[in-house]
Amino acid sequence: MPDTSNPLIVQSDFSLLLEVHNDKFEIVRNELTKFAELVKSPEHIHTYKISTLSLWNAAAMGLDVKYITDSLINYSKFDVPNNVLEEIRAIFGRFGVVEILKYEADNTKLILFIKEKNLEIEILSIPKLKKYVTHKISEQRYLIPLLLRGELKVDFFNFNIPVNDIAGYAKSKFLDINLKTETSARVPFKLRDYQTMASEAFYQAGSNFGGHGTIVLPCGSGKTIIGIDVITKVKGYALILTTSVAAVHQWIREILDKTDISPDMIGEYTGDKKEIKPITVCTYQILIYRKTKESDFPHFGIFLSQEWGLIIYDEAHLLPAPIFKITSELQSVRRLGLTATLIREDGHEKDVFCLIGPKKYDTPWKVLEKQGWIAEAKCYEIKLPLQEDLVMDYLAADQKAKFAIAATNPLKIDVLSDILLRHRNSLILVIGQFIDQLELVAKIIKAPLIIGKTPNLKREDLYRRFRAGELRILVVSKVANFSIDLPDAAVLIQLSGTYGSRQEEAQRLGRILRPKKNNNSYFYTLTTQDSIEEQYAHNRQRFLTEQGYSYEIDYWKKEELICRKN
Amino acid sequence: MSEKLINLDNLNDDEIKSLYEVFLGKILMKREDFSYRKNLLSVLSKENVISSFVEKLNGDEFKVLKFITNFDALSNHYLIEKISIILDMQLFLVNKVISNLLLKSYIFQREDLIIIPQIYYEVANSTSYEIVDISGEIYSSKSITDINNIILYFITKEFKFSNSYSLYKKDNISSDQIFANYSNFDYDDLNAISYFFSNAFCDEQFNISLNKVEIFFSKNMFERILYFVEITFPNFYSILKFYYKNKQSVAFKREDLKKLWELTLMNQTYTYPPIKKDFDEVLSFLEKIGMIRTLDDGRILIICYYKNDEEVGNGITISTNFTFFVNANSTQKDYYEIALFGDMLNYNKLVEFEISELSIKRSVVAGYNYDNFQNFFENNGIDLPKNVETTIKQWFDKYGSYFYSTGTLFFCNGAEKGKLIKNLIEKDVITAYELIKDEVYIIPDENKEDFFNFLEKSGINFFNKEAKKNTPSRKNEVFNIESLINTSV
Repeated sequence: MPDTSNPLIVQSDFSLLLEVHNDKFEIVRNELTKFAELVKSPEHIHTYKISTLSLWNAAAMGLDVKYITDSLINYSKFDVPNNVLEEIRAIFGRFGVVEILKYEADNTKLILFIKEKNLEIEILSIPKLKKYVTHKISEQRYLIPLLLRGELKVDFFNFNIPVNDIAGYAKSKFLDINLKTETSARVPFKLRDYQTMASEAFYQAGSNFGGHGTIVLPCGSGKTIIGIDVITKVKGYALILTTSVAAVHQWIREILDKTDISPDMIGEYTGDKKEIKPITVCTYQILIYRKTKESDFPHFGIFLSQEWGLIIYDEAHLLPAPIFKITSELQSVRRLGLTATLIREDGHEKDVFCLIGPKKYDTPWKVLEKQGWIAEAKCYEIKLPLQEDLVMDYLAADQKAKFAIAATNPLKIDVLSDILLRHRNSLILVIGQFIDQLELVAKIIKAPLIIGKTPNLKREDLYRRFRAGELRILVVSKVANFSIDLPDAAVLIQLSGTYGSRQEEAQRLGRILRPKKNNNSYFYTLTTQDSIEEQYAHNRQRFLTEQGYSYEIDYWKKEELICRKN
Repeated sequence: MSEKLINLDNLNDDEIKSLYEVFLGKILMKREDFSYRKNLLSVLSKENVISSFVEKLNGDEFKVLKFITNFDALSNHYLIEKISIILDMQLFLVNKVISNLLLKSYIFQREDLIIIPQIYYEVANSTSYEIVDISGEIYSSKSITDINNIILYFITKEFKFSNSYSLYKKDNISSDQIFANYSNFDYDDLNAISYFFSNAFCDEQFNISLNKVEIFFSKNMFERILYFVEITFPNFYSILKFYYKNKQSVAFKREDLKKLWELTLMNQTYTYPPIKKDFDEVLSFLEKIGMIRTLDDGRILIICYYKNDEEVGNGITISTNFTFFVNANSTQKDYYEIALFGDMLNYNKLVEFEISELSIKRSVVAGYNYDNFQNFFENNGIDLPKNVETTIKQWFDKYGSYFYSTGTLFFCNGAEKGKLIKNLIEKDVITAYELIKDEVYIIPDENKEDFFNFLEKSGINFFNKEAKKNTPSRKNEVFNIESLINTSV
């Protein structure tokens, strides 16, 4: 029954608006996460969306349709539109009608089982789907090649036909690996509640319903730990793909620190080393390396080199296109995607869902912050005028040059110096896009610099010293955007970014979200006022403001800036 | 077809002569007491004389003539369009037919009027109706909520409409995408609303008059839907107005209402072309917006409503990410202001808007400033998040710092005279910008009317060095249907 004291508004376009400042907010939020996707969560109203994918996922997890419709009706402020209820029932009704099953007689083939005759006729009438149903073996059953398993699921999905893949996974070599109860430093260790829930949401007690999916959690919330826990559940050989050599080393460190596996069981597959072990950690870059555009990818062989039980895609939103392609051929291996943001500026989030798996777990950033699992971050945007002698150059320049001039505004260095003074007792990261600017800054503030061409060993050393507190300030380029764990970094000063990339903004904030002693982190972004950089900054901030973060804006006038003497 | 009582009273002497010559040819020599009128009447009363001439017409001419015979005179203004709608004929064809009939002197043109000799066919009887006792109906339809929000959407998009005041296809598609989920209106209906929007709020260049929008939103919901009908279907509005005046709900047989609709359409004066919808399409739309209902026996019920004074607030919730939600069915007068600074993202029970740099730029061009913006949220009890406030202020500043205006130069003969005008400007009584100190001012085009009205009222004399052009008002006169109605069943 509708009740105006309820917090939920169900709209006829399947969007759900949830009032945050309502007594029933928490209960309803927990219900919604079972069958709806969180779209954005600014401070007054959270927006969810019921989609085919979210319903399909709910069905795969064993929810029944009455549970969903009852939840909507019971918690809705107004009448639930009839079309929404009917459509939910219709979509739900489609789940389980098409299945992929194991074919015992030949392990290079699978059975496509279409349970409804009408749907079979429909499939046969769609040219793009018809190609999969050419080899009929019995009533409503067709044989499909193993390699087309992924592609089939994507194509069927595009025609609103969810395919329930219960063919299971290929057998992998057994790996005896368990979580420790204390770390190498003898600190008691156990998973946090949400990490356990995320891991279980993915693994589903080993059933064929689980084993493929994406976990979306904020930076600093310990997704690596979740990945490790899944490895210990699967107990099979694991291949971990990540974004940089530093990230590879980080994974290896964490695995050794949190599990009982011996170091000789873990291999690094990067530009520097080519080890293939029961647990192998490699970079995306090495996988997609090839001599020329026409050549094959020489390192793709790693996927077939072992009987992998699990592939983990770290920072899944960054999957390069060739990886998608090979992944569509690896559907018989469990696949876990880990990411803080599914935003891709190219809008290919759906490919991550279809080929790795649907979103299995997510939690609003602010909820984890409230629970203390990630640091509370105060975000500031400091706007400053363009240095006067550059104004004419700026006005006359084209768009790209305008951005460069604004982003490398020399007056930013004065602001930077001031912020460094404010936080003189904190560990600080200074990050930017333009190498010249970073080199100048590093020289002026006398801090070490890490950029793309910094050798890996030197990077590792600097990160280690920063973690240990031996270095207070690090100046980094976008190599440090993601996957680098610097737990005690409390301040991040962003001098410039990659145009309007929301994903980059979110990832950078993530560098300072690990919980710390006073649990406050500070994120400063410096933008030149009345410039194109300001417009890009506004777009960059969108994702974070949708997560509930607000930026405090501060204007620095010329008179306030300290004159820098050359 | 049957012969009828011949009546030539509506023709003048020249027309009588021309008509005579159509039937009997030119007279080269005539007696002194010869009367064209008398002779014509005598000839026309003979059997089959008229029918033999009418048979010379082709199918289209026959069709049109048969219809317009219902009238003894018709305004030439949008005549072609009206006939095209009623008879479902293409415009060029109707134009050709009317030209031919004029050429052949079957009908005549007298300045702005087309005169039709009342000789050709039986004239249709006036229509009848039944009064239905359904008192106390309060107007309540989601359609007006949809229309309100579509108006807002059009304002935000600054669409240009086609010559027939329809949306261009791509704009219709994008509008349909926003409204399809929650609105009762479809692709075609959106064109009716764009027609209304263009004629109610825009000038010939589709510049929107915010004053007119403001007036619309100051009406209650029932008044708004009435106004919608007045602008979009003025002939139907005449019908409504007649019965509303008498506080009557009435039921018509479909064919009777159709006749009435046709008669009123032909008699209605238009300052813009009538909307291209036939009778069935008009009825369907009116039913959608709740102004009529089809009874079980097929009759059409025109419902006499009382006002609807229900009030629903805006219910705004704003977030740090520059989006905010508003109640779709808000009746607040300032609801339309949202379109001045926000872009509609999603239309549903709660409408989602976003404030962006571009929407603020649009706002500045529309004459909105930061104070207006702030007042709007204050009046709605909203504290803007700090970052939102700061950024928006900056955007207003960015786009409002420089502007140009086109207007009228106003010259004052001497500094003393100029100071008087300056004083009035400073007191905010009139609007103009000083070009040359105390001597020459420029009056922005949009402030011209008020400026001169004030001077006139105050007795300050002025003159215009250039010839004035008269800009006709775009409002249609309401047609009185009393003469067309039978008062008995």
